[in-house]
Amino acid sequence: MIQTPEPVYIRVNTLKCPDRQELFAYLNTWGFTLQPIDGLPDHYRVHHTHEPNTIARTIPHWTGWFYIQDIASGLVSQILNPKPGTTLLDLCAAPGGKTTHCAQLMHNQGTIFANDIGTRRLRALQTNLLRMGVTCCVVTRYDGLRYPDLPTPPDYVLVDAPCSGEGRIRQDPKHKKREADLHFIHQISGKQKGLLRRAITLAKKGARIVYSTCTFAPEENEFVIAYVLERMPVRLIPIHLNLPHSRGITRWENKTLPPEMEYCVRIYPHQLDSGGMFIALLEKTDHNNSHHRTQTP
Amino acid sequence: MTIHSQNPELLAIVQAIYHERFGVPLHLLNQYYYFQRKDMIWMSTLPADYRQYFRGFQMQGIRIIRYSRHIQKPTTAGLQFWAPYLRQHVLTIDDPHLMIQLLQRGKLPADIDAHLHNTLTAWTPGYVALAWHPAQSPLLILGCAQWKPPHLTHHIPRRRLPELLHTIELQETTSAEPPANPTTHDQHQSNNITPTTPPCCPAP
Repeated sequence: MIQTPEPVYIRVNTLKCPDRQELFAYLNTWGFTLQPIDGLPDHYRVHHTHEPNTIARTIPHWTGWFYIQDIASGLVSQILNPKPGTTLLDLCAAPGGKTTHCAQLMHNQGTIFANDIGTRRLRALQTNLLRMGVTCCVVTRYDGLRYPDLPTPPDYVLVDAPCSGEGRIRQDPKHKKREADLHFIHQISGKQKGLLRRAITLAKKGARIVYSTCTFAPEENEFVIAYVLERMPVRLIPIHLNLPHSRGITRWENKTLPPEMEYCVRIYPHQLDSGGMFIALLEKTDHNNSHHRTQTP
Repeated sequence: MTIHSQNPELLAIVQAIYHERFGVPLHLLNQYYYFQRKDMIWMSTLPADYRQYFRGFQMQGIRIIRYSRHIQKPTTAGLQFWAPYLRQHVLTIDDPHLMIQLLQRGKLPADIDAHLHNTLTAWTPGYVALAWHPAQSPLLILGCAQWKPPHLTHHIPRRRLPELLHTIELQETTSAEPPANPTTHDQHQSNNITPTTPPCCPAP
């Protein structure tokens, strides 16, 4: 499975596409057929008679009627599920797939603060926000570790942290080299912990925080979550998914992790025929008392 | 944090272009907030101007009007955003060859094509929304063009133009061949949408 190219998935942009049947009919004319994904609204698997990426070279893509997005990535915003009229902070937003999905879930109502640090990545984010017609978003450029306090603490925070990218092997074989680079993994896990700590500090009490990476390394996933559970006022919320997935791990290399790590979700490429993903859903509480850090499923 | 009430001056500029020229209903335009940054007017659902709040501010909302030599011009992002509500001055082109010529050359004489000529000469000069509507396609707003007799000039952003041109060229090439027949696809015979549930797999 890992050797085969990843299928192409799209998300229909309900902010712009006036009639999805028209879109489907158009794409159908050009040899693309779309298969809905149960449990993930607006996402479709693309079957094609042309080479895989030519759906990006269609006019509806240029005009922002849909976004090419892996379903594992699509799950992240779906799990956070921000409500219209609320405030959301996306700490590592570029290139904007999850941000534009959140704007879609919020019906362009509310406030999204989309942040990233890289100039080139920010340009991609801005282009995608304009293309997808997102009017409720403010784009900023900060190191996420030093993101300033917001005028109103956010109801939702998304930390799609930079990672070693092992789950992207099917998209980009160069990531295979990094797979065994433990030095890089340890280095990046420090950054991930810092980003998540800052996100929790910025969030309002009761806020939902999603931490996600596209990698399998437990040091970048469950160990980061265990770190903040010990030190920050948060608890893990169980994620219920109607799609094939695995739970977070509770043991790794003779180390035992808290049992509630099973509330997290791991997506392996063979489960959804997608990229890999780790997703944890947290809630900010009053204080970091370990007795209050989980919610009974 | 400054909370803006609607800026009447900017709103009037937006209304003059999007309502008077293109027919977008006033009540829809009035629901948004408008901010000016350098040579752009930006449209946002947020009343607050966050430029004053963040040192690392980059943008807010979408740009809908650009000032070009003291003239206000609708943007691609603005016209595409309001696409479902554009009621007038929408120039539809369905011939890929003609569209490619326009995009490649930058401007075309209106009399190059009878449909183009008849449509444009019936309108007052000014900005038009350039729409792409070949056979079996929904109407798609590509962006802005200007009708200044006797020429039509497109204003598609330079940075996005190569991608658009390549896309239309690709479609013209593909349309020369018979398009794929959807009914030949295995499980998609009656409809191109088939619900599916991925097979359940154990953890590795």
